[in-house]
Amino acid sequence: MRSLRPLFAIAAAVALAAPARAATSITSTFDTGTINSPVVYAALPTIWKCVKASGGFCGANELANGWYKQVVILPAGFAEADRAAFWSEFDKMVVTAGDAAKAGSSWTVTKKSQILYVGHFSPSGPLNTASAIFGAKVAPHPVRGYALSLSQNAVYAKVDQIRADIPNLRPFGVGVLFNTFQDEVTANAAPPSFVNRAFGIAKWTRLDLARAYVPVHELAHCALNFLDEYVEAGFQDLSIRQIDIATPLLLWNGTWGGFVNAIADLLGVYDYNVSEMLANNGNDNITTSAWPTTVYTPGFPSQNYVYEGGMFFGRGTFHQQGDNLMDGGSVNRGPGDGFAYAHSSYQQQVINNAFGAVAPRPNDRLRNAGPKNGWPLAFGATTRVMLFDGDKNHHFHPTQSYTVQVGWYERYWKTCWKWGFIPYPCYDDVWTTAQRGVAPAYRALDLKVSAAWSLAKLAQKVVCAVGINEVSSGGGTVRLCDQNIETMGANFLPTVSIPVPYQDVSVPASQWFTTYWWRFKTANGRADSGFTGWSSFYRSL
Amino acid sequence: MPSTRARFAKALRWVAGPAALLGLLAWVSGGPGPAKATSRPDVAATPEAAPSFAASALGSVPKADLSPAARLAALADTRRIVEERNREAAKDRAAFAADGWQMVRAEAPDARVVSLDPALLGEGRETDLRVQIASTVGSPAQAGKLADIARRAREEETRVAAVEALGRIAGAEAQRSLYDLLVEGGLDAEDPARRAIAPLLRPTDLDDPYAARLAAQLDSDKLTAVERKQIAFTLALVGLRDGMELPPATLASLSPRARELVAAMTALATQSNPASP
Repeated sequence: MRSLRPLFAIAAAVALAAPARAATSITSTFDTGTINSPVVYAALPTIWKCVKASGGFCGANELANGWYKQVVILPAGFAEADRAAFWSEFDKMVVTAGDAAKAGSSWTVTKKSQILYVGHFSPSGPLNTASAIFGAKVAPHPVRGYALSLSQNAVYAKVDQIRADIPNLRPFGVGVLFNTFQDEVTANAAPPSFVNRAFGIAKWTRLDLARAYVPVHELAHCALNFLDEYVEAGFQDLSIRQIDIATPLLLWNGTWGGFVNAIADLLGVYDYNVSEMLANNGNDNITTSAWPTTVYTPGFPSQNYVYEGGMFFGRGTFHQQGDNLMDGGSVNRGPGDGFAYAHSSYQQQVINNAFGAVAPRPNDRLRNAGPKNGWPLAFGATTRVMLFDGDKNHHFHPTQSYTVQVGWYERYWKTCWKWGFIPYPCYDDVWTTAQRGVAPAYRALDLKVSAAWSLAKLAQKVVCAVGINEVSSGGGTVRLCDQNIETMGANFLPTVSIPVPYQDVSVPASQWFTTYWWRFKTANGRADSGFTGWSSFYRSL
Repeated sequence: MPSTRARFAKALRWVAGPAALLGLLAWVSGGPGPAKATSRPDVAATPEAAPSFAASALGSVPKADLSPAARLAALADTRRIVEERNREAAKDRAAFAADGWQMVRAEAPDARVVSLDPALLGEGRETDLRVQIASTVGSPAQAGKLADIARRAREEETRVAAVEALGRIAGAEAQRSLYDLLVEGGLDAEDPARRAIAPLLRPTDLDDPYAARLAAQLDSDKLTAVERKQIAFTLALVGLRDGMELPPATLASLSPRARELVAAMTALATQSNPASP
């Protein structure tokens, strides 16, 4: 059998390399034009397969069709001998996630007609060994028992590699199935906006497949960019706004260009906050205000996130009423604040948007974030204004452009006459407004754990809760959630780079002793938001 | 000898006459003064409706008996000044145009809205006020108005926005307003605006006298247990951030229960596997 394996591989490679023929479907869910035909599938050791959540195989045509969303499932710790076991678990997960009797009205059920599950098998050494694919292991978790850990960069590289075989592979989310039945292991996932990727990575074990909850919930993190709406034990009464006292520990990095050098005391000039970076940064189901809509846009009423709690903290974060997949029972503030295989209406809007519907609202979670009104210091000829945009990093309707207006009272001088015969210069104050469009640009802040050493344990817990499990460092990667902070500190302390919901805009305000007023609005491709209120800054010298 | 009254009247002629003349000349020449919108923003600048006419002191003081030649000279002088000033003003627009900005028509800021006039609450303009509060950052000088709005606004959304806006303003004035709102603001403990206050109370550091005032609230029965816990957590975080502890005198002034609360919150922030306190 061993000697035949290369032949199978060659046959599979030839079949994969061949251009996919037009589907000659026997039924609407049965594509005979690819390696995935059941005939070949039965004869060859399956390297990959594509199945529709609604049943049946899928092939090149479906993979090329953007109407479908692809959930990719990869194995970790499965040896060659476990190949059949992996495919068995894969099939089980697909059926369970799409079964209304098990997953209720979760997104994997309601959108099953649009979901393709793509599995790809790669043999691996055992978990927790050097030969484990992706460096996969079951590691002590900084908050709870054990957690699943792997190199996310290795997974992204693997997806790129697979894309060479499956050119139309466009993962909506990636799940990695760990070959273990160990109990008390916390599954986890990274929302894509926090890792600045097109998709996130979720991890779970074979034991987790006993129910629909873990894969469906974790895939909601990595594919839908949702955050948890439940609360960490011990933090039920504490507010995410309280960790804003750590904001000064964040460092402005190279993504801001020369901006950082231009103004020394950025904290005093601009209004930026850790809490917003974690919980009002494009994840949509969690906000830092019960009324996240800050501007008035005709036709789009203000949203109201009734219940307080989520993203680790019991206070200062808010989610919408409605039992749902991302909520839990740790804090219950009233009816509809618990778990169900369902979604709140705002979550459902995001899901519909993710699966092709238009953006449900304008990007209207905005604030002029500085210079703060009343800032008395002098600028140069150019002033940088800061925009807060809670949807800048929205995964499905990110801001496509900003319209910034700057206004001032310009003196239009003219000749006036006293008593009809004495000329003298006089002026009218004329409101003048300039406007420009600005494209969003990636901006991030760095948290050097060494600088925040005394708060490092809390920082570790929070960033791991968000899903930032790994950071790049010195050409390698550091897994933040595998080891306690003392162990990490004995080697070196990493820097966590956090994409932020802020955008700086340069304003050529050149007139001395002039007050300039400014405001902005957003466009997300579907709707323009209303403008923010006017803020002012004063140009002295 | 002239009477005292006569002497006074004579003196008045010599004083009032020139004073009136000076006043007249001053009125004719006017005073440029800073335009309303260009005043120092030590408090938030507030635009007001621009006057349609504003006099200037530029140019020589005209006389009523100008000769025709003098009038022509004054007119030329005035026109030169007007052109110079307009050239200078145009530089601003040119700078924006060179940077890719376009001139557009837009309504000027509403002075009462941008100054956060609480009277708007009673005039059916609470939404305008709320958008301004929620989508901008106020100035320290506006802290009092925001506190007023937090107390008086009809809608929860506006009250919460006012409290959150106070939290965005750095400095003692905003902190004092927040503290007063919490301790003696009269807001119901279940009011969402009240619940938002305690997490926003932040001393500069633990040596700050304000930290001692906050610590004293850990023994206050005016605060809820949640609010006391939140204040203790903030004190713990500030201490951890700065590597400091509350001064001994402050700690000594606290009840054992309050000290335990601070210790528990410090432990919560530093434990890898926290247990619920």
